[in-house]
Amino acid sequence: MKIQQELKLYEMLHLIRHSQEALIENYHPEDKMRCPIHFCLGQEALAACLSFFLKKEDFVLSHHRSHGYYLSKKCPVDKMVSEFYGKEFGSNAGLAGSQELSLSENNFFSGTILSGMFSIALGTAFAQKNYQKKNITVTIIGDGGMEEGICYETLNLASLKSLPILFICENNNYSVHTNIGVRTLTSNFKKKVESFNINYQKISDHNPENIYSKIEKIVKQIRKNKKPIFVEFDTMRTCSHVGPESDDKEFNYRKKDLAKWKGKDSVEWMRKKLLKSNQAKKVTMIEKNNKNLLNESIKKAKGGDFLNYEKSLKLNFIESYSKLIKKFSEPKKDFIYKQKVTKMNPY
Amino acid sequence: MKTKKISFNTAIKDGMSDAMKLDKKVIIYGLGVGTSGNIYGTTSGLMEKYGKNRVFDTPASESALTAMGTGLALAGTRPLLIHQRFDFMIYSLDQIVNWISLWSYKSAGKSQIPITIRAVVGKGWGQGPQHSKSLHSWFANIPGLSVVYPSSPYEAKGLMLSSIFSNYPSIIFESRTLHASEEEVPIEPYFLDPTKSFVRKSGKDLTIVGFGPSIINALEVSEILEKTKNISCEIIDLRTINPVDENTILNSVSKTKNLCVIEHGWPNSSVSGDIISKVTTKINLNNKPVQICWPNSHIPTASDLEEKFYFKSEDIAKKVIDNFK
Repeated sequence: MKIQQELKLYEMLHLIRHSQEALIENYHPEDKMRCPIHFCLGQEALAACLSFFLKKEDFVLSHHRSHGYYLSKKCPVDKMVSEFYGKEFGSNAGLAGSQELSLSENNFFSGTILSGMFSIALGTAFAQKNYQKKNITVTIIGDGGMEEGICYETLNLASLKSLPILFICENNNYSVHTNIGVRTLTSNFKKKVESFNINYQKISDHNPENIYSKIEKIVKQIRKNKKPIFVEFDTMRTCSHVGPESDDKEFNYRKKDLAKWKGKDSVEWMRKKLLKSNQAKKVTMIEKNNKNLLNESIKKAKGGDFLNYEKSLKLNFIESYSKLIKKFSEPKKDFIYKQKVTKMNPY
Repeated sequence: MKTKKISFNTAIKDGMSDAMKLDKKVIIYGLGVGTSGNIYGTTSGLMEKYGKNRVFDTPASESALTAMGTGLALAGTRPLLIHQRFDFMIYSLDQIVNWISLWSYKSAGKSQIPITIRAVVGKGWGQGPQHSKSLHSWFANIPGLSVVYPSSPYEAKGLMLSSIFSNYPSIIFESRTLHASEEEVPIEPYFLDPTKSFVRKSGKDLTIVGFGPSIINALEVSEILEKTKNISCEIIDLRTINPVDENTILNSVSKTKNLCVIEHGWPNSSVSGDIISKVTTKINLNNKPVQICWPNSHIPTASDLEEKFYFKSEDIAKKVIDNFK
C-alpha cells in the first residue's frame, strides 16, 4: 500500500475511533445525549477499509453498532452527533437516535432489531440487479443477529435470486453479555453459509492493510459476478455493549477474551506503521483535524434546536403518491345492492 | 368511462395488471404467485406477460419476503407482496411493525416505503379457527400504516391501484367472502382515495358504519329496517381503517344521532369499539350505539357451529330495532 493511501486509511480509522472516544467523554455528566448508544471501539477496521470501495449509489444497511459504517459511507460527522443530541440538524432530525441512525441521501440505513437490515438487503439488491445493474448492497450483522430465523430465509433467497450482497458478520463472540458458546453448539458460520451455496470468506486479521486488500477483492467480485458473498470478521468490542460505562468493570464477563485481544488494535497498528515511515507530522495533522471536527460537531449539536413537536407528529404518515395519480375518482354510490356473498366451494 | 361487469377477484387482478402496465417498477411476488391456483386466479397470466423478474413465486419465508419488500421499496420500486392466507403473514410482524411502519417517522419523513401487502382473510368452506381469522384491528393500531379493506369490485380495483401508487405502506385486507361478488367496473385504470371514507347510501335516522364484507350486512340491514320500521339508514363505508376518516362519520351521526357499527372480527380492542368511542365522546346519541362483532371466541370448523358463529343481517336488524326507543 502506498503511503498516501495508508494516510487516508488511518484518517478513516482514527475518525471512527476518535468519534467514539469523544462521544463517550461527553456522554456524562452532561447527559444531553438521551439515547442508547452502541459504540464500536475495537471494531473499526473493516468499516474503515470498506469505505474506499463503496459508491454513493450502493446501499449500506447496518446493525445497531453502526457508527463506523455510517462514517464509512461518507455520511457527515456533525449530522451524526446532532442526531445523538436529538437535534433537528441531526441526520434523522433527532427522531431516530443512534439505534436507527440513517442518512437516506447517502443510501445508509441502520436499525436495532436484530437481523432486520440483513434481510432488507434482499430487496435493495434485487432492485439493483434488475434495474440499476452495477450497484451492490452491503449489510452488517453480528454473531448474535445470526441466531434469528429470518437470517436463514435471507441466505436462501439471496442465493436463489443470485443477489449482489456483501453480508458482513462481525463476530465479537458476544450477544450483549452472553458468550457464543452458551448460545449454540454449532458456531461454524462457514458450514451454515456454504450449505446455501453462498461463497464464505473469513477475515481473521487485525492488520488493516490485509483487511483492505481482502475486502477490495470481495467487493469487486460481487460487482462483477452479481452473487452474494458472506464475510465473517473476527473482531472484539473493546467498549461496553451499550453506553459509555464499562460493562467489563461491572460484570467482568470476558477477561480472557480481552487479554487475548491485546496487541491486536488495528488503529494503533496503522499509527505505528506510519510513525515508522516518518509520517509523524501528517499523523498529528490527521488527528488534529479529526479532533477539531468532533469538537465543532459537538458544539453545533449542543447549540442546535429541537424539531417542532407538532411537525414531528405529521411524519408518521405522509400522504403522497406517484405522479401517475393525477386525480382520484369518485366513489360509486349507485351500486346499492344486491352485492352477493361468495358461495364457498369445498377445497 | 367504459365499464364491464366483473367479480371482486377479477377487479383485484385488473388493478394489479394495470399497475404493472403503468409502471415497470411494480413487482408482484408471494408464495403461489404464477403457479397453479394463482392466488384465487388473481395473478394468472401476469408472469407470462411481465416476466419472472417482476412476477415471481417464492419460498414460504414470510419474514424475509416482507423485508425484501422493504428493500425493494427503499430502492425505488413498488413491491406488492401477496399472502394467500393471512395467518402466515403473522410471521412477518417484526418487519411490518418494527421496520415498515416506523420508517417514515424515524427518517423524519425523508424516506418512504411504498410497499403494498395483500392479506386474504375471512370465512370459507370450513376454513376453521386457523384460516378464517381477520386481525385487521392489530394493524389499525399502528401509526404509519394504511390499512385498507375494500367492500366491492369497484372499490377493490381503485384502492389496489392507489395503494400500489401511494408512497406510504399499505396493507389490503381482502375477504374471501367477497371474491365472487360482481359489479360494473371501469375498464381503464382509476384511483380511489384511500384516506377518505364515503357515504355509500344516504339516510336520516341511523348511521351504519362498516368496511369490507360488513357492508353487505349493512345494505341488508338497511333494507329490512326501511321496509319494516321505516327507519332510514345512512351507510358509511370506512374503506380504510387506519387512518380513519373521522369527519365523514361525525358528519353523518350529527344528523342521524344513532349509530350501529358492524365488523367481521373480534370485539375486544376492535375497530368497531374504537369508532363508537370516537363518536360517543363527541356526540350525544338518541339511543345506545350498537356494536356487531363476532363472539369473543375462535372460529369453529364444524358446519353447524360455523353457521351459528357468524352474525346474520336479520339478527342485526332485530338488535337495532330493540335498541330504538
